Formats: sequence, C-alpha cells, structure tokens
Amino acid sequence: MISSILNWVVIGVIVISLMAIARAYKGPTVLDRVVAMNIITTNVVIIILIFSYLDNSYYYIDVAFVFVLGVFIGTLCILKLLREGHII
Amino acid sequence: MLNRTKVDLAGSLFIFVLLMIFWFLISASADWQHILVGAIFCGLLTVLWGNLTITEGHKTEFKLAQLFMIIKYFVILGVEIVIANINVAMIVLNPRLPISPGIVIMRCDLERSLVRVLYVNSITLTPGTITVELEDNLLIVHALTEDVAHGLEDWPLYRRLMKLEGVYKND
Amino acid sequence: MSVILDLLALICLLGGLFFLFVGTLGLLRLPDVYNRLHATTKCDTLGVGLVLLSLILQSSLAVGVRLALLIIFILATNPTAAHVIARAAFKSGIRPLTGRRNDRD
Repeated sequence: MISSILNWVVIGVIVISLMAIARAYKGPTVLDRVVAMNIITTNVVIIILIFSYLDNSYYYIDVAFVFVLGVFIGTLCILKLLREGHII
Repeated sequence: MLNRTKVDLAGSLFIFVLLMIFWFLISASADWQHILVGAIFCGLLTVLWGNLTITEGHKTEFKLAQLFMIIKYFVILGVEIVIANINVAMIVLNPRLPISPGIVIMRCDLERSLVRVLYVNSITLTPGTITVELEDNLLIVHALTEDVAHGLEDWPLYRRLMKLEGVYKND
Repeated sequence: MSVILDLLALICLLGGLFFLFVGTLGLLRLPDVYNRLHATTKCDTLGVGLVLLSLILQSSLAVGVRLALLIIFILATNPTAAHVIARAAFKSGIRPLTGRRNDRD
C-alpha cells in the first residue's frame, strides 16, 4: 500500500532539495553552503533507500552506507581545508 | 602500532568480536568465503588500528548495569529528540520567528572520552542547543532561545551520564 | 494487523517528510549560520529516522536490521558534522547574533 505513494514522496524530497539549493546559491558564507550540502546528501540517501525498496534490490543499502561515510569524511575535509589551508 | 608498549588482549578480543558482529549484520550470509574475508579484515583492523579505539589506558570492560543504564538513556534521549523537533517546528513555522539566540559557557566534569562524545551529541540533538566547543572542562553552547539557555543548568540527562561514569569510579 | 502496520508506516512517512520540510524551511528563514544549524540538525535527523522507520515496518527482518544500523550511523554522524561546522564558524570569527530579535524589527 505504501509503495503507491512512494513516488510522490520522492518528488517531495526533490522539492526540498531544491529549497536547500536556493540557500546554497544565496548563502553569504561557505559554511551556509556546507550546511545546505549536508541536507542535500541526506535527501539523496532517502531517495536511494526508497528506490531500493521499490526495486526489491537490497544491494543499494550498502551503497547508502558508503555514501553516508564518504559525505561525513568529505565534510570534515572541507572544514579542515578552510581552517588550515591544507588537508594532509 | 609502532610504539605500542603493552597489548590489551581482552580489549582487542572485544573489539574483534564487535567488528565480526557488525560484519555478519552487513553481509547477512554464512558462506565460508564471507566468514574468511570478514575474519581477515577484522583481524587486520584490530591489529593495526586497535590502539585508536582502546584509549587512555582504560581497560575495556563490560558490565550489565551499564548496559541497562545506556538503554534507559537512549529511550529518554528519543523522547527528548521528538520534543526538540516539535519545538523547532513551532519556532520556524511561526511567522514572527520568535528567537533570541545567545552563547552559554558551562562546566563539564565528565572524563571518559566516549561519555563526553555521548554528552556533546545529546546536547546537539535536544531542544534548542548545539555544542560549539569543548575544551578541557569548559563547554561552549549556542542556544536558540533564552528559556532553553536557563534550563540547561540542571539537565536530567547530564546527571544520568555522571551516574554512568560513577560505575567505573567505584572500582 | 497488516492494516495497522500500513497505517503506522504511512504516519511515519508523512511525519518524516514534514520534519524534513520544516528543517529546510528553517535553513531558508533563520538569520545566522548557528541558527540554521539548529533547524537542520534536529529536523534532518528525526526526518531521516522516521522515513527509514516506515521502510523498516514494510520490509523483511534482514533488511530491517541493516536499515536500523543505518539509522544509528546517521544518528552518530549528523550531530558530529554539525558540531564541526559550528566550531569552524566560531574559530573563523563569525560572531553569533545575540539578543531578542523581535525588539529590533
């Protein structure tokens, strides 16, 4: 029953991501853009998992794991680069 | 790994078992190939990076009372998270946007690093506060409204964490 | 029984979508980096949690365990990222707005 509205949920999540992109376009500092990027990646995780449910293919969940981990490390790298000017 | 002085055998074994449980939950199969690959990688992680997870010379130990405390803590934390979200939703959806932000500086007497991480993340997730900085035992918190900043003084979850640390100090 | 599960999943799904929307609206409306972090961290974490909970209620046990692990993962990484962003803002000298905002405008 729930799968009949999941397509509309995906559309709603895309609209929410567009709102976050508006903030990333406007944002006065880099940190606002990083916050907006965090929201967009969270929405991407939700879309991946909804497609995994609709397709019944559970390997997408591993993709979501790696995606969350990579985004976390990426955020840390961006902020370290901003503060110190180099990563390594 | 290079300048490790002594090997904490029980702690290493505990971390290995934890990693193997995580591997089984992820791979969700019991072929011998899966088990072999998992055991090799978990062993490598434990040997090479075990000294990152076993820190400060504390022994990794496990007590039943502690487990119950942590479960109770997370139940209360879940309720607090829902209250926090409704709170923030009321503020954001209000057309007058009633915020009065400010910075609060507090003391934090917790010592174990895991408990400190738990404390800081709980502050970030509960109503109207995010942690900005945690130095030795000074905590800088940004509060969204003034009421929240005053309510942070006697926070019930902090007392629970102190009790959780007290389990270790009684030894 | 199945009807109750479906209804519960539907409520969780709509609640999660609502909180995601509120978090992003806060990102657009609030005036400062710190205040924006307030809205996004809390609402995003609960929104993802509720959407994944509704998927857990609809899927089998092996998949549900993995999705629960993913919830724990997000619950650990999301506040940590927020803390790092706030700390970077504080160290780079962005002054937070203080005081009662409605008195001014």
